[in-house]
Formats: sequence, C-alpha cells, structure tokens
Amino acid sequence: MNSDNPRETLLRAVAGELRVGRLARRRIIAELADHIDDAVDDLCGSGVPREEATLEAVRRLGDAETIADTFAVTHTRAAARSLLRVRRSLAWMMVAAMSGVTAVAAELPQASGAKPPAKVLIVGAGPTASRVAPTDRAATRFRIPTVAAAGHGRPADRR
Amino acid sequence: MQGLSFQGQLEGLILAVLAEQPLHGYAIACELRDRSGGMLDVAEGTLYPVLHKLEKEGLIHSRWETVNGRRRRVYAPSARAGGAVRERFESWRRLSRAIDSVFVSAPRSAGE
Repeated sequence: MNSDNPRETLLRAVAGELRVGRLARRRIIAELADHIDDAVDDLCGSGVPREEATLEAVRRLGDAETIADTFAVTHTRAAARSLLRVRRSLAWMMVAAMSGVTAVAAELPQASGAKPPAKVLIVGAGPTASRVAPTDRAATRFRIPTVAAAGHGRPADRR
Repeated sequence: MQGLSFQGQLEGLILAVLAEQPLHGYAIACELRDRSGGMLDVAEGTLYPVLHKLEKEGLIHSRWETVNGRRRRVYAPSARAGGAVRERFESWRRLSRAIDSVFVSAPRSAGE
C-alpha cells in the first residue's frame, strides 16, 4: 500500500476508525474503494488528470472520522432494532409453544377415552392470557372447548 | 416522523432514487446531486451507513455484481420500500409545511 496515495490513506483511516465486525469492515472498505474508483474514472472521462481526479474523489467521500461515526450511529440503531425484532419473535414463539402445549393437553383426555373438560384453563390474566387462548382454527383442529373468557380477556381500553 | 435530521431525510431520498432502478453507491450519489440541481452534495461516504441501515431494516437488498470488469455492490428496493417512500414523503411534507408556516408568520421586516 502506498502511504502517499490519498485513496489508500483514506481507506486505511476509515478502517482504523470503524467500530464494526471484521466482515462488515471488509465490505465497507470494498464499497468505498469502488466508489473512489468510479468517481476517478468519471472525472478522468471529463478530462481531469488522474492525480487531481483521485484527490477530488477522496474529498467528495468525506473525512474518515465522519464516515466511521455515521456507521457507528446507524449500525447501533439497526442492531438495537434487530435485537428488538428477535426478542419479539422469541416472545411469539413462546406464546405459540404454550398454545400448542395447551392444545395437546386438551386433546389427551379424548385420546384416552376420558371425558374432555368443559373449559381449558388458562393460567394468568390480562392481555397475555387472551393471546394464549387458542384461535378458532386451533380450536377446530384440536377440538378444544371454548376458553372461559370471564376475567381473562383483553381489557376494552387496551390495544 | 423523521424530524429535522438530514440523516432521516437522506433515507427517504435514497429510497426514492432506488425506486426507479437498482444502483450502486456512486450512482446514487450522482443521482442525488443531479436531481437536486447540485443542492444535495452530501459527503458521499455517509451514504453507505444509510444504505447498510436500510438493508438491515429490510427496505432494500444488495449484492455484488461485476460490471465492465469491476465489482460493485448494487442496491435494489424490497417490496416494503414503496410504502416507506410514501411514509417519508408525507413526513417531509408535514415538516416542510410546519417550517413554512413559521417563516410566513414572521414580520416582513425580519429578513431585511
């Protein structure tokens, strides 16, 4: 790498400032390098000498600290959103698993010939309890008696 | 609402540019500059953090492509991008109207 080359100097500086993983760093540097090369070709095509074009392309890209800082902000926000999505998915998977267990449990007495319970007991109360209750489709599929709603449904003033 | 941050507006602008055709980073920078008559001359390096963010949010996707022997990361809108562009445009119009109304209500002598 030539330390006098402004392209290499900027790319090395950005790589040094970035606070991201190895793969992300490699991709970012490759994209920035391509960007400079495109800009240089463009400028050279309009008659600017290559050396001058490289300086201009590097200037347009901005300074290493600003680029790295912007990546730090956007990667942190995106990571936080991803984490939130994963947590939501996990929560729904747990709810689905609980519904499944409840449904299977409701099926057991019928399979053994015993009389099914008149109601499926949902442990807990409030909005979570209403989510645990089987849907019509699940109720049909698993032949689950209707859930007792009194006191376990979603309060009318909450969404 | 994206508020006054230029970063927030940049997301909408990039989505609007990509709505027409898939582009690589340098082409996006050129489109922004050309379509704004040279007004939006952003530090081009700051486009990439925004592109990566939009990709992580599932609004765009990208892949390496080789064009004329040079490898480029090309970005394209996802199915959700159209709705996001409309949402950001509405947000911008609300903000723009709010700012207009403050300027308009200022005494005429304020700018003199």
